[in-house]
Amino acid sequence: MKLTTNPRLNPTIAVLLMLILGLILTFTAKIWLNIIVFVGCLLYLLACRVSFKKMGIALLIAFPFALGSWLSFISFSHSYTRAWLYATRIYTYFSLGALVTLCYSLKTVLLSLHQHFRLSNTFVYGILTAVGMIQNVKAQIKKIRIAANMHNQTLNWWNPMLYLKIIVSCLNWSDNLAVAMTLQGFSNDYPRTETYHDSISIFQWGLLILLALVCGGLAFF
Amino acid sequence: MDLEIQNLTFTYPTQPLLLENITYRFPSTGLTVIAGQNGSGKSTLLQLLAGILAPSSGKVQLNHQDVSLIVPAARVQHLAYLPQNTRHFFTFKTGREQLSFMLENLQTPSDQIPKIIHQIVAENSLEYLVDQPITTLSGGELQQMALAMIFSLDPEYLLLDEPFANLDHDHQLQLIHMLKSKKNNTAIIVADHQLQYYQDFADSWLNVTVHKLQSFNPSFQNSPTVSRVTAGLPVSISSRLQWQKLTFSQAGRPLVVESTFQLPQRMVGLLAGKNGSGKSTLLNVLTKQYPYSGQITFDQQNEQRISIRKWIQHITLGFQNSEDQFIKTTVREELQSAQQASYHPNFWTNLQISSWVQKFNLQSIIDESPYFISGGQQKKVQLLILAIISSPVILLDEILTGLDHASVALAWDLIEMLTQLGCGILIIDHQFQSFKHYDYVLEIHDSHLQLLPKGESLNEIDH
Amino acid sequence: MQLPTVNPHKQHWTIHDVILLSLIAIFFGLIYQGWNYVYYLLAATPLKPYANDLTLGVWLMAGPVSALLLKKRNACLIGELLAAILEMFIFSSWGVATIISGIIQGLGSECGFALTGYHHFDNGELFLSTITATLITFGWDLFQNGYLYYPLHMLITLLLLRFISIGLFAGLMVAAIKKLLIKTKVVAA
Repeated sequence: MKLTTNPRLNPTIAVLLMLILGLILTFTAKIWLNIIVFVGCLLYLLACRVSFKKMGIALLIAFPFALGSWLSFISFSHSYTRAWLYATRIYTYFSLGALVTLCYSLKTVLLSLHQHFRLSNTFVYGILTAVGMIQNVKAQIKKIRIAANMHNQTLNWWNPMLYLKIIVSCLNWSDNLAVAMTLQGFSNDYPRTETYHDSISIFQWGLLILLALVCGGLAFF
Repeated sequence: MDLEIQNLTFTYPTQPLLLENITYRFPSTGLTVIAGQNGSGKSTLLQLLAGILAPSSGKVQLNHQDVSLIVPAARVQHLAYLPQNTRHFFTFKTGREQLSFMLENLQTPSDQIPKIIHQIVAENSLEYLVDQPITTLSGGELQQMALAMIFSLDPEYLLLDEPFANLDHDHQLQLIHMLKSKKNNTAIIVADHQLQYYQDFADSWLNVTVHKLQSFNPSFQNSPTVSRVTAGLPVSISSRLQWQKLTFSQAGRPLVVESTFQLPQRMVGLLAGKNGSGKSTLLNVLTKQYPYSGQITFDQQNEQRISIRKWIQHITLGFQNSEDQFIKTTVREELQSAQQASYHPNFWTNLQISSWVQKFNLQSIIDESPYFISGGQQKKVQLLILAIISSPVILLDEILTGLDHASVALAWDLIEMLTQLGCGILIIDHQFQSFKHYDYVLEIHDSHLQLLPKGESLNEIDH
Repeated sequence: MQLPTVNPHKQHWTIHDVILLSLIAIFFGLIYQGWNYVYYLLAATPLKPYANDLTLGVWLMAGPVSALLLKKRNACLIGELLAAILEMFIFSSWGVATIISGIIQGLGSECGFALTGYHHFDNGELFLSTITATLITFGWDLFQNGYLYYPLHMLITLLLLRFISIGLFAGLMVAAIKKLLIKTKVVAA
């Protein structure tokens, strides 16, 4: 599990903040607002002591996309304003995503959403179970490719047979895993002991509403 | 609480009738063994009893209620079931998380969960396993943990599918001890084709034959399993696949250290070793699926310099899970595709192929989907594909386990024929289970891959 | 004593469905990693919008495949949303845009099946879903990626490219996969 590094926001609040600000910024055309939100997120991540390396990598990954947007608006729309608007927007989206992905594990986020938004346990544990299979998925892709190589053939990503093989594996695994969970007493939507608890203070709700209103106000008025 | 089946009939979609009009009431204590050949339906019967499958017609009732409709959290406290494949029994990263998940499902108060886990761990000596990443544990270790979880439910009915299959000798003895003490106040129902484990303490014996459940008296012949090596390698051999100072490990644990070997052509070798010793991983290393250090060469060419596509044409692998082998939509297409890739197209004529299809009794399913034929048929098709390709080196990962005697004998004929075509074959097989004779025996023991001399016993069998 | 029972007729999302769609999302995500690098190179040039629209169809495959396997209301939407969530956490790309686009893409494909009232999940519905997906995702990109500010002739080209890409991958390719699934009896016809 990714250990959380001193996050201040509740995971659910972070998810809501990410989505709400992300949506607001999609429909506005103010470069300075993008930059304010981006800087705000960075400061928050610093306060949470997210490792510089992780942040650095995230910022680097975003660069080609931002550059591509910038260049395309220069070339086809001939406007520096728009070029900067969409280039900065990409960085803002990235930093908003980082509020959640760099601060909490997927498990924490799902359990928090379960507690506050009644996200069904079926989804919480279904997603977590599948994520636990990543190593098996990687090994399986190798096996599928090798099976074809033995026949002197290659299953490329555009070959439907590759997807048939994938789907057959997924069906077998999901059958087994779902049965295993049932055998350990899990049923869809049946009450179970909740060991995860977090609380959202009125202050955090207030902060969320305030940030949404301020950002919305700045964006549209 | 009663467990009974009434007029139970079951058929898998698109497949022939499996179980027909079975009525039976299970005793409330004692050990019942359900025997039967592979594919006879004994595992299916267990799954029907556990409420995982629903009957095509008839009823399975626990406490006079339809077992598949009882809420799982309530059901498992009265009737618990352990499936054959325990790899997928674990859905979390560690055993501790898995135990916690199970206890949460049973609505155990959260402050008691750590205490109960501690107790289960202590009672079953799981201290070294419970916090290890699941992906690094062997089949036997997973089986141990899964058994501990199921036993901790303390149900009235305990259903186990081949519970001994992955365990080493010590843990097999422990399980026998556990079953003996449990059966006095619990009804234990096992499905197994290895009956000798239950020889001195089973209370009733049932057999699934021709869609019916019948009681029978098992006979135990005193033919001990072969465990001694009957042949050694001659001094000079021809070899194409070779490795030097081969080392690989799993999760920091060394599996094989500095092994050097020349795989002989025209011979059939056994790759032995305890569960989790790294047998399958060795085959994955040799087929570019797993990282290693050292050097692997084929005809003096370094593996690292050859593309996977070329490499795999020299060295083919029979996967443990047969379905992984298939890349076409019908059995016929699979065989045709293998024929096109064959190293010996003059030998594998249409006539030759159809004669083997007949011998293996596959003609009725030749136009079927390879995913919807029985497990035994899948293994035969798999073997035939690899035989037709007849690459210089053929590695087989337990693909013969579970085949009936007649099929195993045919498989041996096929493999002998491949050696005459010049192939070098290495087979992972459980304790000489399938074949009684190999040209040489390689064993992984204490992280060393060693060639056993003639007359030596396998270390995997503790005496 | 009577043990509690479940309602067998309640139609909802089972743990099996969720694991299946999540696994498919992870498999697809891993397969496209190589594809991703190609896009990555193109994305750093002025041709980014063209690259974006030409490759978009690949990201939309998970939705219709989910619908064909489960034949359920909202399968497309949820399949695509799960793919986006996992994409964001495992492959850590694109930030919040991943989730928002995932929802839009899922909705886009879902509409095709919804328009016919979920009676069939056949090639006709699949074709319809490629059209709805093209229109809805394009409409969204007018805002999110600023397509609004590109010249009209470029917009038409982009729309066409997007339809070709979605039609090819989320349409024809998915239909080909479906054909194989039916031929091997993995999915009932």
